[in-house]
Amino acid sequence: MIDHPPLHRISGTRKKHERAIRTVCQECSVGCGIIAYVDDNRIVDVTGDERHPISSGRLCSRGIAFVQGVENPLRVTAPLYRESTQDTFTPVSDWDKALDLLADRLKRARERHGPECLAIACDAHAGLDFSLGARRFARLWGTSLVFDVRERPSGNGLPSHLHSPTVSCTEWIRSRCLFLVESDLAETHPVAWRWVAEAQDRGAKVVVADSRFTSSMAKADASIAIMPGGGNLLGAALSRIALDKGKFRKDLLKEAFRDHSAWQASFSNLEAVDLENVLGVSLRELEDLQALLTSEERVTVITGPSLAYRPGHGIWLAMATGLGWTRQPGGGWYSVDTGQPSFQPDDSGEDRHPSVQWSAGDHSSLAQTVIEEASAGRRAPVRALITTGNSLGGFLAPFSSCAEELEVLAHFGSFPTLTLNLSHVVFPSAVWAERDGLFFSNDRVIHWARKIVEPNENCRSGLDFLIGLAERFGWASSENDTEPEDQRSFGDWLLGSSPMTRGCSVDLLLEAHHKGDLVRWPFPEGRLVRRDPPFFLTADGKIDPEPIPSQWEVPTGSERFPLLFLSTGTPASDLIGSCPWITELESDAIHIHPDTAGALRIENGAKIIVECATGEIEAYARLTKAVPTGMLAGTQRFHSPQVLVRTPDQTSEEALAILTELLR
Amino acid sequence: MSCDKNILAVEAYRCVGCHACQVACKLEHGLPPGPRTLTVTRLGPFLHGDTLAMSFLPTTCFHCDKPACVAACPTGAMQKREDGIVFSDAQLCIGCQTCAVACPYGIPRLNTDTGKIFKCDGCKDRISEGLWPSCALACPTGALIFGSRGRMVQERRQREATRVVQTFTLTQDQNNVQDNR
Repeated sequence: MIDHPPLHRISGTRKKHERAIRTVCQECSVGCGIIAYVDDNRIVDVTGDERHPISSGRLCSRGIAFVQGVENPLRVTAPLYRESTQDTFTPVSDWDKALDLLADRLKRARERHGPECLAIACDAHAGLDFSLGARRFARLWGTSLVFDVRERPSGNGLPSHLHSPTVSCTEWIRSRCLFLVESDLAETHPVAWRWVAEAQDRGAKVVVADSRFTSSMAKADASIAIMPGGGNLLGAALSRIALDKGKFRKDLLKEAFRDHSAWQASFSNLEAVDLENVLGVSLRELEDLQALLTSEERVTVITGPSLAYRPGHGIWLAMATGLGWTRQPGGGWYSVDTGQPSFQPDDSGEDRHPSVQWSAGDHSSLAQTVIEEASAGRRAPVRALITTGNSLGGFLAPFSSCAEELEVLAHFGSFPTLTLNLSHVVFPSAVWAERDGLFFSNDRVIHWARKIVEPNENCRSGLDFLIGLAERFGWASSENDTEPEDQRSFGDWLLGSSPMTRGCSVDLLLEAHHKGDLVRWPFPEGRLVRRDPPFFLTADGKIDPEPIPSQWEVPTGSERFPLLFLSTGTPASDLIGSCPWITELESDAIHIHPDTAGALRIENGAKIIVECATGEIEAYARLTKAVPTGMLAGTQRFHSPQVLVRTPDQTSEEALAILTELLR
Repeated sequence: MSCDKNILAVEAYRCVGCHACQVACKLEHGLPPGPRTLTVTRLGPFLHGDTLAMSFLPTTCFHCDKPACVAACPTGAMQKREDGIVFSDAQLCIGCQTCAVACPYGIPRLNTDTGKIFKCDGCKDRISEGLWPSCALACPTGALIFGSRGRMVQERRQREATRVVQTFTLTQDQNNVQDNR
């Protein structure tokens, strides 16, 4: 392969600083190395870390702008309390006092409603210390309701990410074909996208399957339009064609699949599915795509995060294994946002939430399920909620409509958001730049991320918050737990608690970091083994492929709400959401196809109302052909994807009639 | 033509519109939200036959050979350095915005916080110390690269050569050169 000497980049700062901290950005799952320059406890400059093997000194807008958020004047820097949401907040003199107030309210709620009335919710930026502490607290308290956005629903009885033989994105340059499925990597993870661009320059074909025209699709060599949520079904359809044409290698099926005949037999479940209608693709397109993908052996399929929540996610493992991709350098399956192992510190090995079904759906449908079960009397209604980040504005949106029924809403966070405005007690949190901690990124990398600046004395870590709260319930010390008191001992304890990371320690991470190496899990038999990817995570190298499901849950428009809404972009942390340098770049306009807009007489830039079953929002329309006629796209989040759109002076019925006619 | 001139080369096909360059520039120069030194233009999506096409074009100030802004500036704040960089000296600038009117691209803009003109200054102080400009350093995809004129031409040529070579591959079993286009 021809290559040429890379450009010599010269990094550094001119700003006066006392120290330079090499650490890792925690705004998304790429985990780019950064060097933060600090003077007098303020961050004066940030550059990428040229030595970092994955990011090599590159950064995206978030990795730079976070500096603005750390010092945002709108940040909450003292605990706040109010009796009811009708009152204004009063600052509380210190954390201990605020924790006492919260503990009292929680005790009262528990006396009235029992322990199952409490739910704890961890958003994507809550930090491992909060989410682990939350589970421990919930277990000691006696509630099974812990929503943790980082935890994915199970398939096969084991978390699906355990089965993904993730190849590092730096290996993509050796690939001949990169197949992206419902992942707009160029938009959401531009530093990772760089490796796609490098591969493409070296002749790799980039193929993108997505429900709308994205930045990634604009760079692709070939693309296919599918219905939103149809990614896994696409994989199954392609696999079936590949099986029929004998593209699956017989030696691999025998050697690497535990029971390949059962798996092949399960494809009969596909027969009842009207592929062309459900996926929105023709059989011809599927066959062409299959031929393209199987003409190469070094294929890496990159699947978007939303696919992990839908049935049939295991197809990618089967495809990558059976078609021989995982045996090639530059080949395999890369599942975005699944670089964190599952932590089960109570060692039960069981599904952690026995009373809540995880089998399908994402967290907001889970929240919806909990609310519905409560109204039907099948479970205790949630009356107390402890949450981080803007959960009620995001994945816990169903709870925002019944927020008045909550007797206690405690918010652990630092930025003025919808969730903060609905809560009773607010505990200002330290952001990631203000605490040491473990951080897992894509590519299975374990980082020990060093803190950059000291937080304001009232901004604490999740560990402090939950330990403090537990103390008020008499759970501070128990003979069985070894109490981690600080981030470092918590890190060691956490690493030791999972079979995937046992054998790793914070010391080991620091040593590797010093040398510029990356440490990846797992550590089989407690040893750090450096192995060239790809490798299997099962002991004997055989996989248990998930049988092809019969239900695919690809959403379609309903009678009342005929359009589909696609929520785009990775939801930013509250830290980033508070940065003016970021908010000035964003647009919350909703993308709508010109034909759909024309039928409803919506002009470019006009105000529109988008309705779903549980409410409506106002927004501005942006006419673009990037979305198909039956779809809307935007950064907003809805409880369910079926929506209706109209102008402010139309009634829902008028708009519905027009849309039904249009989409016929 | 001086050999000391450096070039910020724009490989627009690599740009994905992530705006890292704009934010990096804001951090480097302490700019408030509002004035933009770089413009990242999105072209499209356009219908191209029966498919859609879209591309991005990042541009900074062009540091023109014959800068209209320098000619227009009444105080001499806007000036062209020996190595070609056009910048505005904030101490001399009176915020009259004549340069803004003169520039055919509308590049100089008023920073309402300071009352002075701001525009891309080529990170002149950084490059004087041998560092890369902040925008090019941050760019994740290599759409903005920096170096001497000779090195930039070499980089462009090498990338093109790599792409030409990739149209041919040696197949494993046949040892034939196969046109892969």
